[in-house]
Amino acid sequence: MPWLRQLFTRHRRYDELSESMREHLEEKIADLIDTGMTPEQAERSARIEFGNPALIAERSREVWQWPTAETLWADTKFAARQMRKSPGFTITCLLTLAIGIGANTAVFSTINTILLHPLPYRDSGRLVLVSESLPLLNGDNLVGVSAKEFLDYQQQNTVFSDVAAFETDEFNLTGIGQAQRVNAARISATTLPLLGVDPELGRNFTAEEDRHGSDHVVLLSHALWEGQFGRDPWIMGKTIHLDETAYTVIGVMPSSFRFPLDGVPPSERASLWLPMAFAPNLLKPENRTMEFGVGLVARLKPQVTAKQAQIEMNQIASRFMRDNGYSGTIRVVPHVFPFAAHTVQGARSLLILLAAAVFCVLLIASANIANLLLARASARTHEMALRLAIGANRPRLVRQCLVESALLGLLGSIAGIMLAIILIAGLRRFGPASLPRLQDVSVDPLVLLFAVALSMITSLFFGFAPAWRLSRVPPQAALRTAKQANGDRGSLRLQNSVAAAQIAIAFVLLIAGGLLLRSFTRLVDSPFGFNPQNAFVVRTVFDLVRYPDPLKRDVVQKQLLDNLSRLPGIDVVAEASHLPLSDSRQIGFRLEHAAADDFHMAENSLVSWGYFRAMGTALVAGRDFTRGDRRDTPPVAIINQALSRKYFAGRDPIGKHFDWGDRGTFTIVGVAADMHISSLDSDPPPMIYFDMFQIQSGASGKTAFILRGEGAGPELLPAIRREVWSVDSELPLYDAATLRSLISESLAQRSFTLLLLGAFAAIAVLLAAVGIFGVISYLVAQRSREFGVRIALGANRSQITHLVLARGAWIAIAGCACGLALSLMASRLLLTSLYQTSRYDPVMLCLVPLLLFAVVLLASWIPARRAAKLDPVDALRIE
Amino acid sequence: MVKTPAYRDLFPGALELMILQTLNRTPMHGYALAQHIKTISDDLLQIEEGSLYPALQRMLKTGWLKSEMGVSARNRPVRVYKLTPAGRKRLEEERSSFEKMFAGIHRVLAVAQS
Repeated sequence: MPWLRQLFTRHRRYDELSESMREHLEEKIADLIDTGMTPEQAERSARIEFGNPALIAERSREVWQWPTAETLWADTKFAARQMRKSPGFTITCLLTLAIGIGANTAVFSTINTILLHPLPYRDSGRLVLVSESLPLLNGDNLVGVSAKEFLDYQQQNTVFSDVAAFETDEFNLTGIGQAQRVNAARISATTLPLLGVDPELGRNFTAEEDRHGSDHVVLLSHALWEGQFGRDPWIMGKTIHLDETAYTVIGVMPSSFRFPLDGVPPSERASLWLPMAFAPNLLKPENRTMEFGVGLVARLKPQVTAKQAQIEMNQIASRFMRDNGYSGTIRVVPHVFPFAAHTVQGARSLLILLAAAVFCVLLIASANIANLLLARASARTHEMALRLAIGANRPRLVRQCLVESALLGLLGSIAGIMLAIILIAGLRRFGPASLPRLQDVSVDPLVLLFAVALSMITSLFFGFAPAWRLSRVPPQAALRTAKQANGDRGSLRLQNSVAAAQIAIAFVLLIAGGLLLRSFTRLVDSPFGFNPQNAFVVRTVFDLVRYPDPLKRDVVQKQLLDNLSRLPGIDVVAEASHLPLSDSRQIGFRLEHAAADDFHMAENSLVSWGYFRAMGTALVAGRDFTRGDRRDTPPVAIINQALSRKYFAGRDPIGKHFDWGDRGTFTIVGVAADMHISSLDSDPPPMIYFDMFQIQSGASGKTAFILRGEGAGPELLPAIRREVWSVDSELPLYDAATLRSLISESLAQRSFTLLLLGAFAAIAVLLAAVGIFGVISYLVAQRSREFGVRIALGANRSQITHLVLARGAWIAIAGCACGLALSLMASRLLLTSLYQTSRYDPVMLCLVPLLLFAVVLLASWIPARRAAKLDPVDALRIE
Repeated sequence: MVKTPAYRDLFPGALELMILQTLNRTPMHGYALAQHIKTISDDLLQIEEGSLYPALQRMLKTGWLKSEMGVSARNRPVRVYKLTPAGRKRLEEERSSFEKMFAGIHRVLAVAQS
C-alpha cells in the first residue's frame, strides 16, 4: 500500500520540501552577496529567479496528492468557514432556498399526484366516463345516463373494449353493534375486470349475481373489514344486514381500491360494493327519460380516441332518441370525458393557481439568492484580488466560488427537503377534503430534483459573479482600497433590476391574494338564505324495509318532532330530506297549461312544517305547510323566489298549479326566500318544497332533523340520541353538525386557497424586503466614502437619508409598474375564483402599491439611517 | 529575467534527464543542481529554479531519487538528492532513447541542409 504510506508520511515530505526551498534561497543569496550585491539586492534577485515559492510549493505538494479531490475538500472547508463567518448572510440564503425549494416541492408534488398521476387502475389513461346533460332542462349539469340508455350504449358501441355501470348508494349496516350508516356503490360485474383490480380476498361478482333478485352479495372495503370485522379471515360466506336485508360477503377489496373516485373525503368513500343489478323498475320504458343517475365507465379499444368515442356516442344517442320518442325539453347530449381529467376537474383551477403562485415565490427566492451573492461578490472583490496577486490563478478562484455556491445550494436543498416533508404532512392533515387523492400526496422525487436543480443553478450561476467581476477589474485597481473600488456600476444596475423584479412578482401575488380575500369576505357577508346561528342538524334514515307503510312512518316522525322540540333550549324542530350546502336533488316539473313535454328542472326538498322557521328563512308570501296538509288533502307546494321570478314574472304564483311526473298536480301555497343550494358562490337555483307528510318520500328515506334554539349544539347530541332511540333503537344517527359548520365546509376549498395564497404573498413580500434591504445596504457600503465627503462638506444628515430612501423608492416605483402590468395579465387565472369582485378591483390596485411602498421604505430605512449616522472620519479613512 | 522563445521550451522529459544525469555523478542539493545545469548548458537552457522542485518531488515519488542530509559548498547542512538503483536504470534507458532520437534528428537536419 505505497499510497497509504504516502498519505501518512506526507507531512514530513512537505516539511522537507519547504526546508529544501529555504536552503536553496539561502545558498543563492549568499552566492549573490559574494558577487558584490547588497543583501537586499541579492534577496530580490534570488526571489525573482526562483519564482513564486507559494505556487511552487503547492505544485510540488500536488505530486503527492489526488489534486482535484484534495483541493475540493480544502475549498469546502474554506467555504464552510466563510459561511460561519457571516451568519446573517448564510441564514438568509439558506432560509430563502429552503422556502423556495420546500414550498415548490410541496405544491408541485400535490399537483403531480392529483392532476398528472394516473388513477390507481390498470392503464387508466384509456378509461373514459360517459355522462349526459339535458341542455334544455338544466344546462351543462351532468346527470349520468338511464338504465335503458346504458344498455343501448353497451350493446351498440364499437369503440369500447368493455363498459361498466356504477351508482352510489347508502345503507344501514346492522347486526354488528349499533346500527351505522355506510356509503356503498353498486357496480356492474364488468367493473373490476375493466378497472384491472382484483379483490384482496374472495372473488368478483358473477354475471348471474349482477341480475335483480340474485344480487344479495357484497364486497367489503379493506377498512371496513379491518374496523368492523377484525380482519376475520373466515369472513367469506358470512352474512351482513344492509337495510334489514341479508347479504353474503364474497370478498374484500385491497386498501388502495377506491371507486367511484370523485374527490370525496375519506368518510364518504364507498366501503361496500354490490352488484349493479338494475331493478325492473329502472328498466321500464318510461323511466328511460325519467331516472338518470347511472355512471358509465368504459375502456377505449386500442387505437380509438376519446374523440372517436364521442362521435359514436352521439350517433347512438340520436338513434335511441329518435326510436324512443324523446321530445320537448327532454333531449340528452352524451359527453365522453377522460376519467382521470374528470376526477380532478374541480381541483384543477385551484392547483394551477397555486402552482403559479408558488412558482412566483421560487422566482423571488432565486432573485434573492442572486442579489445576496452579487452584493457579497462586490464585498469580496478585494479578497479575490489579493488572492490573485499572491498567486492563485483564475480557474482556481472560479472553482472556489463554485464550491462555496454549491455548498450553499446543497445545505439549502437539505433544508428545503425537510420543509417540503413538513408542508406535505400539513397539507394532508389540513387540506380541503374536496381535493381528490390528497391522502396519496407524497414528496415527489422528480419535483424535488427540479427544485433542487433550479436553486443549484441559481446559486452556481450567481456564485460565478466574484470571479467574473475580477476578470474585468485589474487586481491592482481592486487591491488599491476596497472602498475606492467603485468600478462596478453594472452590477449595481443588475441588483436594482433584480430587486425591482422581486417587487413586481410580490405585487402580482398580493393582488391575487387581495382579490381572493375580497371575494371571500363578500361571500361570507352575502345572505346565505338561512340563519346559521343556533341551529343543529342530525340525520337519520327511515328505510322502506323497516317502514314500508308511509302512515306508520309519519306517526314515528311526528312523534320524534314533538319529543325533540321539548328538549331544553330548543324552540323549533323540523325535518328535511335535503339540506342546503350538503345534498340536493332535482325534479322535473310541468307548469299547468304548458305543452305535455315542456318539462323544467328545479331543486327539490321534502320538508316538514316549521322547516322555514327552523332554517331561519323568511316566507315572503303565502303560508307554511301545516298539520292540516295530509296524504288525503290536495297536494301543496312552496316555491322559492328564484322559481317565482323565472316562471311567474310579475304574477302572483300563489294558487297556481304544476305537475310533477305522475305524482299529480300541486298547488303553490307559499313563496320562500332563496337559499344557496350547491355552493355559496353560485346563484340560488329555482326550488320546490313539498310536504313530507303529504307525498311518498324518495326511495332512500333519508331525512335530517333541524333543531333551532339557544341550546342547539353538539352537546345536545346525547339527549337527541336518547329521544330518538327511545322511539326506535334501530334508527342510525349520523352526520351531526351545526349549520355554521356546513357553511365553513362549503368554504373549505376557498379558505384553503386564500390561506395558501396569503402565505405565499407574505413570503414573497418578506423575501422582497430582504432583497431590497440587501441592495440598499450594499449601496450604502459602496458609497460610504462619498457620503462621508458629503457630510464632511456640510451636507445635512437627513439629506443623506433621503438620498438612500429615494433609491429604494425608485426600485419600488419600477417594481410596482411592472407588477401592475403583470397582474393585469395574470388575474385572468383568477376569474373562476372571484365572487362579485372585479379583477381590476380599485381598492386592491391602490392598497397593494401602498403596502409595497411602505415595505420598501422600511427595508431601506435601516441602511439609510446607517448612512446618515456615518462618521465622516471613519468613512474617509482608507483601510 | 528575459526568456526568449528560442530556448524557453524544453521538450518533455528533458528536465528529468538532466537531473538524473547530474545527480548520477554526485548527489547535490537543489541550488547546486540548478547552478550546475545552468553552467554546463552555458546558460542556453535557462530554467526557473523553482520549477525544479515539482520535478524533484515527482522523481522522489517514483523512487528514482531519495533525499538525505549532506553539506553544501558553504558547509551548511542541506538536503541532498541522490540516485537510487531504479533511477540509474531509468537514466540508462532515457539516455539511449534520447541519443537515438538526437541521431535521427541530426540526420534529418543534415539531409535537409545538403
